[in-house]
Amino acid sequence: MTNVLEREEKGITIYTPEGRIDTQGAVDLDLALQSAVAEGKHKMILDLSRVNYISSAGLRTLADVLTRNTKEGGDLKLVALTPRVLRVLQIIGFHNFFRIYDTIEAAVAAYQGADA
Amino acid sequence: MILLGELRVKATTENLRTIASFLQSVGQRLQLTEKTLFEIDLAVEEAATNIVRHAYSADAPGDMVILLEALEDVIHITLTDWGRPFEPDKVKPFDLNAPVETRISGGMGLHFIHSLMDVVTRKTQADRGGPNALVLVKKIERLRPGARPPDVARELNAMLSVSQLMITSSDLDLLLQRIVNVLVETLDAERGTLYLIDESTGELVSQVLIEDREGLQQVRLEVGQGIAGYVASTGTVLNIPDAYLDPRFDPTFDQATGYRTRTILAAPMFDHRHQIVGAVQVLNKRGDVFSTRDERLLVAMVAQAAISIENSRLNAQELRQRLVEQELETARAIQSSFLPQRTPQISGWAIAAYWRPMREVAGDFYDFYTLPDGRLAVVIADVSGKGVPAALFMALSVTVLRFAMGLELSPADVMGRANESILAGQRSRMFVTAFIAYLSPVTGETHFACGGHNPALVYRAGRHGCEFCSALGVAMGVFDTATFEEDTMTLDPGDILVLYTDGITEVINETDEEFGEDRLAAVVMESAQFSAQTIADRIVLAAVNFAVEEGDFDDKTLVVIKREPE
Repeated sequence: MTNVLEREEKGITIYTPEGRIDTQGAVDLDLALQSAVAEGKHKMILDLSRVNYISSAGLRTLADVLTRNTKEGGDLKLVALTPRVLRVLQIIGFHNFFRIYDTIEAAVAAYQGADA
Repeated sequence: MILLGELRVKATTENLRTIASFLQSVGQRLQLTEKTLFEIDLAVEEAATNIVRHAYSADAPGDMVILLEALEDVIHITLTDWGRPFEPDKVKPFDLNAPVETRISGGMGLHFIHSLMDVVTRKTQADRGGPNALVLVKKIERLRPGARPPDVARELNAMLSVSQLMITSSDLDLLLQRIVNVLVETLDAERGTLYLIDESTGELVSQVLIEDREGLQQVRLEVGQGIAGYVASTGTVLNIPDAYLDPRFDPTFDQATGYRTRTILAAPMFDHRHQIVGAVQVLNKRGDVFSTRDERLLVAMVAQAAISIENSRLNAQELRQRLVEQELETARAIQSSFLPQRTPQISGWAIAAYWRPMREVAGDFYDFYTLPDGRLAVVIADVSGKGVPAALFMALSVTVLRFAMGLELSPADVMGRANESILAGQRSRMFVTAFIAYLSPVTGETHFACGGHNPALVYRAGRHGCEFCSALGVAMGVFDTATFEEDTMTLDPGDILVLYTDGITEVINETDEEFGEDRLAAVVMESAQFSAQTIADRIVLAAVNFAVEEGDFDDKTLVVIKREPE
C-alpha cells in the first residue's frame, strides 16, 4: 500500500505519495488522483520528494491525470523529484512534458501567476 | 556462470513486491550500487508486469520464475513464464475500451527494459504452454569493485533451476551435459551419468559421463542392469552408502576404468506422462555419503531436467523457428521497400543515408520527401520496441508522416498531426520519436521540429565546430495534448547536418561508456572535408569499432547532408 497524503492549499490539491510507485503502488496513486479528477479538482501538485521509485504503471497515471487536468484548464505539476525518478521521466521523455518545480511553494506560485 | 538465486512465484500483481524484495536481497549480497539495483529493479518489474498482464489470464495466473546468474560483472536475469508468448501488437479484448493511459503502458515498459538493460533477448519454446524466456543482461556496478559475490545457498538455488538454465539450449548434448554438471556440482559428487532409454533397443544409453573422458565413451545397459538399470526399471531412488556391499552394483566399469566407486545416488527420470525415460546417477559424495536431503534434491532436479530434455526434443519447434525466420526475411524485404530507394540528388548538396537493423527488421527509419514548394523534407525516426512489432509500427509511422507532409504542414504541425493519428489508432501501445527538417536547397534555411528524438548534429564549416540542435517536443503516440515547437537554422556552404538514432550514440564499449554525442562530433570534425557518404561510413565504422559485441544491440540509422563548399 502506497500512502498518499492529500491536502488543499488555495484551491490547489497537493498530494504527497510515499515509497514505491510500482505497478501496485500506482493503483493507490491512481485511485487518489483519479477520484479527485472526478470530483472536479484539476489543479494538482504532486510532491514526489518521498518517492524513490516509479515504473511505467505510475507514469501512465501521471500522463492520464495530466491530460485530463489540462483539458479542464488545470495541471499536474511535479515537485521535488529524486534523481532516480527524474531519470525515469527522462528516459521516456516526460521531463519536458510536465512542469517540474523544486518546491511546493514554487509550484503554488506558478498556479497563482497563471491565474493573475 | 554463477547462480545467484531463483524465485518461483505465481504471476500476480501482489507478487511483484515479492520479486522486488528478492532482487533487493540478491542486490545487497552482491553489494550492487544503488543505481544498478534500481535499474534492475525497474526493468524486472516492467518485464514481470507484462507477464502478469499479458502472459496469463488474471483469473488463472500461472507461474513465473526469475533466475539471476552472474558472469564476472555481468548479471543475467531470466524471466520465464508458461503463458502466451509475447505479442505486443496483440491487444487483449478488455483493453479495447480501456482509457488512454493503459495503452501506453506496454510500450513504456518495454522502452524502460531496453533503455536500462544492455542486452534483451526473448525465447519462446513452444506454441502452447511455453515456456517463454526473457533474458536481460546488464553490466553491474558494485560498491566495492572486484568483490566476489558471497557464496549462496546453491542447493536451494540449483534445485529449481535446471530447466531454466536449459531453456535457451536447443542442442540436446549440450543440454544434457549442463544438467549433469549442475547435478554433480550441487550434490558435491565426483562424477555423474545421465542415461536415456533408447526407444529402438530399450537399452539405457549413457549420455554424459562427467570426469570420465578417457576409457568409457558410452555405456549401454539393459534396463534392470546395474544401479541405473535398477532405478530405471523400478522407478525408485537408490542411495547406496557402500557400492561394493550392494549386490545390484556392477563393478565391471570400475575395473575397466580404474575408478573406485564408493557411494551412489541414483534416481529415475520420468516424462510428463510419468513414463520412465531414463536415469541419473551421481557417484562419490565428497568426504561423505549422500544424505536424504541429497535424495530430495536429486529427485527435484531430475524432474526439472526431464522437462528440459523433452522440450529440446520437440524438433517441431525448430521447424517453426525456420518458418518464422523465412517470414522475417520477407518482412525485411517489405520494410526496406518503405525506405527511400535512393537519396535525393540536389545540386549543391550531397546526401547519404545508412540503415541497419540489428535483427531482420527494425524500428528505425529515415525518409525523404520533396515538398510542393521544392524544399526537401528529411525525416529520421525511431519506434519504441524492436523486431516485428516495431517494424509494423514503423510502417504505420512512415505512412502517417508522409501523409501529413503531403498536406503541406510545417514540421511541428506534421508531428502534431502524426501524434493525433497514432493516438487515434490507440491499440498499438507504441510510440515513435522523430526529427523532421525541411531544407531549402537555395538558401540552406532549415526548419525543424523534434519529437523526443536525439538532437541533430550540425557541423559549422565557418568556425570548424559542431553544435546540437533540437526543439521542444515529445515522442508521438503518448499524449493527446502534445505540442511541438519549431526552430530554424541555416546551413551555409561546407556545413553538415547529421541526423541519427540512438543506436549510433548509445553503443557501449567494454568499460560501459556510451559512444555519445562528443565522439560523434569528433568523427564529424575529422571527416568534415570528405563526402557525405564517407562521413556516414566513418561514423558507422567508429560506432561499430567502439562497441563491445554485446553492447551493440540497437538498430542504427543515419542521414548525412552536406552543403557543398563554394
